[in-house]
Amino acid sequence: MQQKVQQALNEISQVVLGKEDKIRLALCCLFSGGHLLIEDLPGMGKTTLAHALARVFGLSYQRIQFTSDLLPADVIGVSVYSQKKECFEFHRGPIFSQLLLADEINRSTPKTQSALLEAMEEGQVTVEGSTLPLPEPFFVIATQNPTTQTGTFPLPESQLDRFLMCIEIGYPDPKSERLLLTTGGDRSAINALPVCISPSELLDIQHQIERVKTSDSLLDYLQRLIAFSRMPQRFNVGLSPRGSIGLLRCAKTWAFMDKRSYVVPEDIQAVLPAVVKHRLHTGHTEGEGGAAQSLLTEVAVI
Amino acid sequence: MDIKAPLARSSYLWLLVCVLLILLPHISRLPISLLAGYGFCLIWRTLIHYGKAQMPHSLVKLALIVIGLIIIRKGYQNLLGVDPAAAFLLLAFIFKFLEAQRIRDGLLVIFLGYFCLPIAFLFSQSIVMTLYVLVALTALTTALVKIVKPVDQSSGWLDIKQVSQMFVSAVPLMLVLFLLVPRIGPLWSVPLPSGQAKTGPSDSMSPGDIASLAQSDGLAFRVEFEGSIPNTKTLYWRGLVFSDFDGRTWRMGNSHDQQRRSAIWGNKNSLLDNLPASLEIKKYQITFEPSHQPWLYALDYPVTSSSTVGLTAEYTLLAKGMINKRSRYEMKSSPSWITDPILDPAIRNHNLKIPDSGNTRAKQFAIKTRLKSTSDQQFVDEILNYYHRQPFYYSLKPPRLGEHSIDEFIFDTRKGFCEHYAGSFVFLMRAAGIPARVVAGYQGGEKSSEGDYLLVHQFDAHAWAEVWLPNRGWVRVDPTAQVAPERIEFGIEEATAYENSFLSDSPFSLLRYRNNRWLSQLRLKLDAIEYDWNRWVLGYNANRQSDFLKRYFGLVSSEQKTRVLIGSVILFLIVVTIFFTRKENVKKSQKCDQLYLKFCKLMDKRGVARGAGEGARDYSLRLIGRFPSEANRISTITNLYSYLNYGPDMKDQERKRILKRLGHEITAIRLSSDRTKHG
Repeated sequence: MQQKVQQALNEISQVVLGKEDKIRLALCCLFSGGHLLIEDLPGMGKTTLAHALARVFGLSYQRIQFTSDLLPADVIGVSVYSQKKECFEFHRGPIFSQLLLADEINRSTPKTQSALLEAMEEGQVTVEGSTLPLPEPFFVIATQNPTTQTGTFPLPESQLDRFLMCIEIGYPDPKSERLLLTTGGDRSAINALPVCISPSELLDIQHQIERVKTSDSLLDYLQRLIAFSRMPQRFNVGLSPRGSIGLLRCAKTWAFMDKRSYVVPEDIQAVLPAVVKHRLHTGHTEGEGGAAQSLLTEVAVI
Repeated sequence: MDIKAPLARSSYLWLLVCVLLILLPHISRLPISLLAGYGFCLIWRTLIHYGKAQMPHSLVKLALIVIGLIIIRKGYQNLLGVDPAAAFLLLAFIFKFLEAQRIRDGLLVIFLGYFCLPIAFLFSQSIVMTLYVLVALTALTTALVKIVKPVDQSSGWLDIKQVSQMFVSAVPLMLVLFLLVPRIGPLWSVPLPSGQAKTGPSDSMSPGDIASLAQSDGLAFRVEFEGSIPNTKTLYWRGLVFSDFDGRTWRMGNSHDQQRRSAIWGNKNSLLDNLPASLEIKKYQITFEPSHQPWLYALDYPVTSSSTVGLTAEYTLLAKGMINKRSRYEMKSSPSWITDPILDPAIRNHNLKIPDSGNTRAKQFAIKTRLKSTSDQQFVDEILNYYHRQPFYYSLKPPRLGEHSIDEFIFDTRKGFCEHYAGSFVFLMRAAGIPARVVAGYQGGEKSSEGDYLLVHQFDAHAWAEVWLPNRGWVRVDPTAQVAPERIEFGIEEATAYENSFLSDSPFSLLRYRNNRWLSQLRLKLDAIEYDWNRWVLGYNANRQSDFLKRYFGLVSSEQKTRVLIGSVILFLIVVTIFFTRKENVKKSQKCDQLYLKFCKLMDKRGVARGAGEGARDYSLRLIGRFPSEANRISTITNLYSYLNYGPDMKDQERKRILKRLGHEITAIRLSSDRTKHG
């Protein structure tokens, strides 16, 4: 099974050049069954990555471009009067897909944001009194521009918490950039990507991840990390239990992807920045990266 | 904890309380100017706390130190001694408090407080002081907890509870240390507070001296008898013998130095051996309160001496030096012993001397009466009768006497205290040619609440006479008993009840209310507690310790004792060490962690230290980059460790096998590193 994971990784790397570590994190997030938030400046390949992920998993996917005038109905769907049937008929919105790509999520109003985010958490949508289940699996990959950009509505902490991971892509290295420039950024290559992991294989992988062993020493380390994040002198807000469960789940996936049947502290350390980045706030000016960094260096492993 | 962080505001109040608690026992002893200086610093610090003043500039601090030193120099005549040293320490302590700004300063103030608090013990070791110091110690430790703990986890009563628990759990440790740590004398000693008020009879006696002593309710000594306590009437505690009279004042015949040289020292028991076996011997132990004088007291007549208690030729007891601390001695007395059956002519002459001039009426009266009597004994009875028949009064407030004090007393005022009666009686005896002398000491005593010991107070001070009669030696005669028999039987309070003068200067003394049964019981109960405290806690010296060891552990020879003491101290230290390192062991309870940490230490020595947050795999990558030749071994160790610590569950047997292998690998890598170092 790990070969398939490796294959998926290789395929995506053909499209998103030189970002193998970020792709790995994104895959880890999806294997862990969590939603992914990609935060970066426009034009960094956020959408490309999201597209590639959807292709590789062979999932039905829809894309919504969030704008400031987007309404909840544009996401969920709308009831339209059918003259033929002489009744209202619900037209499913783009949310009824296995993978939803929510582009520039923070450009829409909070009302629309929360419509999406509720669906993310519950896995179902309630329209006009009837509850409609969302397809299985259901992933949201959202991209957002840094909040310093104009025309953005920052997501509140409570909603950020629903994304399992938040990753930044960053500029490509010169070698990748040269390759990108020579090939000209061929978008059609995405559509040529083969399906590497079918939905049933995905479920299988998720079962295998469940069985990855976490020893007492490891849980001790994890708890030390959590306790450290809750020290009021250091961080404004500590890791929530949802955050700590997510951290462990991602670490298990990471261990699985590393072809191991047990978790080691390095697994936690590898996923920790992506998992805690949007959850911890130091309140200092040193930047958000500082929070994860101080957790990694100051908390004793042994 | 960041010790450079500013001190939390809530800690300030606790520190202030601690400083005040430490200062309090010294307030009555410190000069006013110094107290004002201390107060100034405390007020300044409080103003800083409320933001109304600035921290002192370093120049100001320097000035404060200089001023403080000048004040101490002025307040105490010499700078050497306990008092100025204590004042100086306290001054430094308060200065530190004044500039306490950061957590580090706060900790320093607390630690200095631990040092300054026991200064109070230099001046008083009573049970009350001990309890007080315990309270202050609790406050200090609570303040320490307050400073160290983060603000939001600390709450007043919880902290005190925690500190109390700490103290209670330290009690067994304290007892072991108290009982077993060898009592070693001080390596050096500081001159004790000088110029302290001397208590008890002094080396001379003028009219009024003992009367003023009788106004003091201080404790002179406690006595514990073997057997029952004798009748109060017979309890004459002799201390000093006055044989020189200048017409007004009685003085000792020999100086202190002379007495000390001629006294019998050491536990020779020579006197006791020479005594007839039929003599009645009383045994008792005296716990003597500090008097800052050399005299010790015993019942008539003491017959033993020891290396610290000397027996003089006048049958009085003498200590080696001034009695500056509470001391305890055992004594044997024989009431019916005939002392000096044959009187040395020099002593006889000495004890007949009276001034040639003055007091002529008394002299004539003595000679006239002697001529009328048939024997010396009859003359003594005749004079005693005279005191009895004539209207003499026993009074604590006698009228002042003029130049011819004896004449005026015997024939005019006839109001006096025991020294008047004893003095005039001896004068009459000497005038009639009978050797006589004045003896000063205490008479009587008060039984404790359980009746197992006797309390002798300063107001039990008394003076009586001794006359030398042929064949009978020195005979005790108490003329006061003729005038006020209740003084001898019931004590001074009864004897002066008619004029209400007993302890009239100290209206709050509990002893004034001896007739109130409840108060009296309370006072005696308190004294019993204090006596036990003195006996068992303060009096636990090297002798008592060796008694204790002999009794409960059967240790006799000093070598045995030394061995056991050293052994127990080492054992104790081991136990303590284990106790304090145990916590760390719990954290690293797992054997594989210990082994791996050993490996890390080894690698640290070789120049690559593992960061606290660095996992084993990351570390191994770094190590391999640095020591490529040992890549195999390093990755084996790392894999074994990771597998043991994080890997799947396994049987104990397998775990042990892997552990063993890990141990081997680490030993191998150590050996190889040693080789590279030496090779």
